[in-house]
This record gives sequence, structure tokens and C-alpha cells, in this order.
Amino acid sequence: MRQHDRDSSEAGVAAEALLAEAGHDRVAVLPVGAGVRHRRPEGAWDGIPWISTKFQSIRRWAVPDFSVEADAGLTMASLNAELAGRGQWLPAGTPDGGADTLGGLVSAGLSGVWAGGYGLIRDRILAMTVATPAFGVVRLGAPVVKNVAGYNLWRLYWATHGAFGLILTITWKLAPLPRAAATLECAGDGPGLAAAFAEARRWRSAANAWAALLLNLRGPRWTLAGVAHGGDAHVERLRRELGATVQPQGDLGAARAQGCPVAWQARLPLAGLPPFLEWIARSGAHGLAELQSGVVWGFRDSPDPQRLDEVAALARQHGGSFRSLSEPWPAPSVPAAEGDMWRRLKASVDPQGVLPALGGDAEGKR
Amino acid sequence: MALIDDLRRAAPRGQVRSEPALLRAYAQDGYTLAAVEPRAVVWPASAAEVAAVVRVLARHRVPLVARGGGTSLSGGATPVGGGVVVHLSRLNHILGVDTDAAIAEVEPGVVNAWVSQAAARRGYAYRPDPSSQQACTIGGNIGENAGGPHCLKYGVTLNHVLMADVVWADGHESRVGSLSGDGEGVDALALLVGSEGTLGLVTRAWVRLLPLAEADATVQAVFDTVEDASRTVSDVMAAGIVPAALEMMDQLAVSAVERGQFRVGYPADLGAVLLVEVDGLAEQVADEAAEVQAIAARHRVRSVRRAASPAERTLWWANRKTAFGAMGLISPDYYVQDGVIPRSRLPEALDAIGQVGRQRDIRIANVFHAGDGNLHPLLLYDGRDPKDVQRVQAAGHEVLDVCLALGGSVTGEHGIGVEKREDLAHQLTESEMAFQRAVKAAFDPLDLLNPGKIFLP
Repeated sequence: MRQHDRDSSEAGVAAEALLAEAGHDRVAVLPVGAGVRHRRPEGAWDGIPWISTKFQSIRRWAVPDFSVEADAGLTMASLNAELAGRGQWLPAGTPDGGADTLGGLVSAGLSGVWAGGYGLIRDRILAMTVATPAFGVVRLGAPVVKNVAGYNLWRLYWATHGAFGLILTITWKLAPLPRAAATLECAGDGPGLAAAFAEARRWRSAANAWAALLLNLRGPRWTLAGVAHGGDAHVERLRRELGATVQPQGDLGAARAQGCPVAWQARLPLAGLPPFLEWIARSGAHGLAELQSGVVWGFRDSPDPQRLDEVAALARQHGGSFRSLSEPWPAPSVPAAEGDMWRRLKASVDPQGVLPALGGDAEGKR
Repeated sequence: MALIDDLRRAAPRGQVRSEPALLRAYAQDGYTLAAVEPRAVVWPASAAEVAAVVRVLARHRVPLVARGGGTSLSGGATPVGGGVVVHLSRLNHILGVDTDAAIAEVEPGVVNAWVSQAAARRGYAYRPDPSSQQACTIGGNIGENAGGPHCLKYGVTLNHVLMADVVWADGHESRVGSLSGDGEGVDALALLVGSEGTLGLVTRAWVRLLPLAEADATVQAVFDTVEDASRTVSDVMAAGIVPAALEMMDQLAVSAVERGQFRVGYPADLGAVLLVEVDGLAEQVADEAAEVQAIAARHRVRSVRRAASPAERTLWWANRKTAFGAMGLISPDYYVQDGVIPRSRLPEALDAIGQVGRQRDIRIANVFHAGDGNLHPLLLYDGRDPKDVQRVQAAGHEVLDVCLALGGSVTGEHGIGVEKREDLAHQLTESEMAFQRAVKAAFDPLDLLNPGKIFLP
């Protein structure tokens, strides 16, 4: 057995003490991050908060190995500011540039605008340190880029809002900062998005790996933005072939919804994306889609941001998933066919039920 | 023989066999240091028959091991817990390749290479590409969370499986994951991938396809020393290049593959050879291939060049991918290890592994995914000599201790199986092992699915 059985960090000691106190007093523990997404559960709540933002350090940065272990309370923006100094980054920015903590990103299951070019944020997690009521502070995964030693326990913490424990640190696989970047843009008006989809298909055939390929919808007007990471020659070729406007900064250009908070996130299979986006455009909502990954965000400045149930039903109807990021957070759903297995696991990890609960089945959520 | 009769009723279109001569063939897989004969082998002909077979076995309290191509290198398909082998080779259909959705729908007995070939005909690729891809199956890949050379850039099987139909330990079925690749709520698929058949049996899977890159280039660099090759690896990554694959073989490994079917003509006195593949847009590929060559030149490369044709590139990769089997040309037996280290510790790791070989008087050839620090030392021995077997097993554990001491893991892609149960217990704390066991107990409380794997009894 490995000898250091306990995480002796300040966060680890504090988390274990808090979980012990909660178990002793039979009160609930509520993990709290930056508070930029969900509201706290409604109604009276008399539990103990776990404030992850008390811990905001980079624990270990293996620069030659492109990996970093950082506290869950550190914001992604802070982490990337630090990483940029050595030519590295975590390609995980949400479209509103929100001040999410790393733990919050994981607990809420957020996707970033770079999901198409760099993969999901989730797939960049190598390891985690978590505090659990039953097993204390444990390390899950390993700080190397390949590891199949045992079950992928760190995935229990993706989008489950702390139901299996408190995330203390996360180890990420980093990417080199691109040597050159440029955003190409074109825009058009409705009715319908046929012209936008045709243009997007042309762009995808010109380069099948954009760093991001974003369609921004605001009422009848759409903007297509392709972010190319690479060399000058390749950007020039794309500009010439596509006849698009080049934004020299390589930012997300008009597609970026900086400052406008995200209200919901959906992920659609690519085949389900066009009808879903047509509906968004018709409804007059403000939405942004990353067309290579199928991730779609809706914003709080939409004319009618309260139609969340309708959006969720539509996403599921097309084989996708939906996450509200503005309501009180939901208990993670458990399919009825797997109910007994998950309840047994939850009881093993959290025997006194002090962590956020698991939910029931949610019909049609596949 | 109530059990056999019940199995035959559960799989009327399939087959149930229990002749001793046949059972011997299923006593082991690609890991040859453990062998236990099963009680019977069942070949179900459909997902419904798989579920019915599992229900029968659950009722009889008889354990089972799911088997695909039998290529596991950690004993994943070896029935050490006794019981019945459920062979999924008859569920071998590619049910659809949808390029609009970039998804292939496949049965578990489909061979990995078949998916790649079907996708390539439509301009797409299925990226996980274990060296055994001509024989290993998608079901086995899911069970072991298989990797391969091209996982450096594109990720392992876990990153490419979207959804699956599963038969759980009591025989009930459900669909896990989501075609979108990111479902809602708890994620049983993520636990299932890499679970080595200990949590459930996959009867159908939907896997993600990626568009083929517009261009690619493979650079071959021959070095006098492993150290120079290792420094080249570090500098390629530090330069911000993310190769599709970055592979290394040392002198002993090259001496074996050069006796095989796919001879490249490497000089006999080289220290190490690197294969670096870059892909992407044509301009980017040209720039990066040139830069890789320039970096190698800074580290006293003896020769460096880009493959001149697709045929040459294919030959180089065939040479590399047959390295394990080629060990049979220089030794009666070989034992392949699979450890991971942080990439920057490569020279230290190779030194330490060399020392293990010298101390144990065992020849060790090194073939590895240098870009992601995934080492595959090949320990050469003679299985007819029991002392040699003992020495090679001890050396294998010492190699993994080296990986742990350098901050790595005891397995990058072969899994724990029966081989590395003791090593996993070295890697994890008691609490971490207890957490792992809790998952097994929650999903398979009677310990009927592939018992004796991952955990020591």
C-alpha cells in the first residue's frame, strides 16, 4: 500500500473535519464555488457550506509534462493567466467568460467553446483529490496522461454536484498555446438557418479541425465564426478559400457572448443540431453553438429565458442532454434500471447522507 | 448437467461447448503466465441471448468471463475465478456508420480494425488503435479502455465511446451514455469503460468517429543513443507540437522486428528509433514535420527523414506494430509490461529498467509510446525453465515499482487483470482500494462478473 494514506494539505484536513462534523451532527454539507451559476437549493437549508474558494493554489505544475494540479477553488481564468507565462493553457473557456472555479466546472458539467477543437473539459481531467465521508481524502486517477489502474472513479464527480464528495484538487492535461490564431467571420439573416448551415459545411470541408466553429444566433441574425489555431500560411489559405473577414486578435469575435451570462447548456448529437438550432432561431432566443462538438448555450438576455422546460424537452427529443445553469441545481438523475446499483454506491461513499442527494429517473434523458 | 442444459435453453441460436480439449484453449488469453480452464464456453447469438445466459448464470451463482479476441495482455479474459466463458464473437456486426452524426454503431465482437476500415472508406477514422487492432474487439477495447499509438493526440477508448447497451450482473439490461457524448445525471458508461468486464457486459456500442486529417506525415529518426532520442521527444512536445503518434523502439526491439516480415532496413548498431507522426492541414503538417526533423538534428540524430510514400509510411508502422510478436524471433518467450511515467522522466525510467534487467540477468527490449510516457518493456525468458519464469515475474513487478517511484501508474492501457493486482495495491492506498471495491460491490454484489480481476482476494 502507498504509505501517505491521508492528504495532509490544509484543504484536506479542513474537508475531513467538516465531513466528520456533519456526520456527527447529522447535517447536510453544501459545496459552494464562485456562485456564478446555480442558486442554492430553494427553501430552508440549515447545513454547513464547504467554501471551495478558500483554496486557490496551483499545487503542482509539471511544465515539461503539460500537466497541472490546482485547487478546486481556483478560477479557470486565474489558472490560464498563470499557465500563459510558460506557453500553456487549459482550453476550457465558457462562452460568457464566467469566473467559474475549476471544481464548479466539473460539478456542474460545463463545456467550453473549445470542445470541438480540443475535446471536452471532462476529457482533460487526469486525476482528482476528493474528500468523502466513508473513505476520507482519496486520490483518484494518476498525474500521467494514460492510466487504466482500476475504475474511472473521478468520473463520478462530473456533473453530480458533489453527491459523491468534495473536490479538493484537479489534475489537468494541458495544451500548448497556439503559435498563431485568427478568427474568420461571416454573417447573415434569416428566415431559417439553411444558409448558415450551408456555410458551416463549406467551412468544415475547408478545414476539418477548427479550434472552434461557432454559430451565434440572435433573433433572425446569425454570425459564423471559425477560430483557426496554427500558422500564418494556413490562416491565409482559409481566408482566401472562404472569403471571410479575419479578426486579427484570434479572439472569438462577434460570436463571443462576453459578459452575458449563460442560462443553460445543451449537447446535441451532430445529426440533431440543425433542427434544435432552427427552433432556437425561431424562438428569438440568444444562443451559441459549437458546431463540431454539438454543444449549445442559451443566454440570460434572451427575450424569454424562462422557457427552460421547453428547451430541455427539445434537446432530449433530438437525443441530446440539457443542463440548466440558472435554476437551483438539480439532483443528478439516476436511470430507474440502474437505481439499485447507484443507491448502493452512494450509501457506501456517503453512509449518513450528508452530501447532496442523488435524484430519481428523468424520463427521456438519454 | 442442469447448468449446461439451462445455458442451451438460454442461447438456442448460439452454442454451448464443454469438451475438455476445447476448454483448454480458453484457459488463458494473451497473458500466458496464468491459466484456468472454464466450465463451459457459450457463444450467444444476440444481445437477448447474452442477457438470458447471464440470468441463468446468476441463478446458478456461477461466475462468468466475457471474451472477445482474447488478446488481453493482463489476463483480462482468463477465467481465474472458474465459471463460464461468454464468447461474444458472434455479435460481430457493424450496424451502421453515420457520417452526418460521426458515429458508428457496432456489436462487441467487431474487430477494432474493421471499424477503422469502414470509417476510412467514408473519410472518417476510429482513433483508438491498439497494436492488436487486427484481432482485438470493440467489446474488449471498452472493457480494457484500450489505447494505442494514436491516443497521444486523440485520447483513449473512454473518450470515444458515446453510448452502450449493457447487461448487468443479474441479467437486467439498460442503455448507458448518450449519443451526444455527455448525458445527464450519473454516468455508468464512464465506470464501465476500463472495468475489465467486472461490472457489466456490453452488447452494443456507439462510438465516435473523427474526420480523417487532410494531411499527415511520418518522420523516422535514428539515434545512436536512447538518451538523444528521449531528449528529442521532450523538445518536440516542448515546442508546442502535438503529434498524432510518437513512438520509440530501442536496439534490441529493432533487432527483433528486423528479422520479421516488415523489415525497414534499420542499421543493426542503432541506439533507438523514433517514429513521429503529425497530422492536420497541409501547411501545418509541412511546418511541423520540418520542425521535428530540425529538433532531431539538434540531438545528434544519425539519420532523419519523412516517409516518401504512403507505402513506406505503412511499412514503418507495420514494423512498429508487430514488435511484440517479433520477440518470438529472438527468444522462446516474452513478457510485455505496461507502465506509465511522466514523459519528462523517460531517461531515468529507461536507466532503472536497464538496471532491473542486469540485476535479474534478463534481456529487456523497449517499445513504447514515448509521447505519453507509456512504456512497454519486453522481458525475454524461457518458459520451460520455472526459475526463469519466477525471475521474469519478479522483474516485471520491479519495472512497475520504477514507474510508481517516478510518479506514474502500473498500467497505461493493458489493465490490471490478474497480472497486476498486487501492483495496484502498491499504487493505491487502503482507502482508495476500498473505494474501488465499493464500486464492484454496488454493481455486482455476488461477485459473478470476471471475479479474481483487479482486486486481490
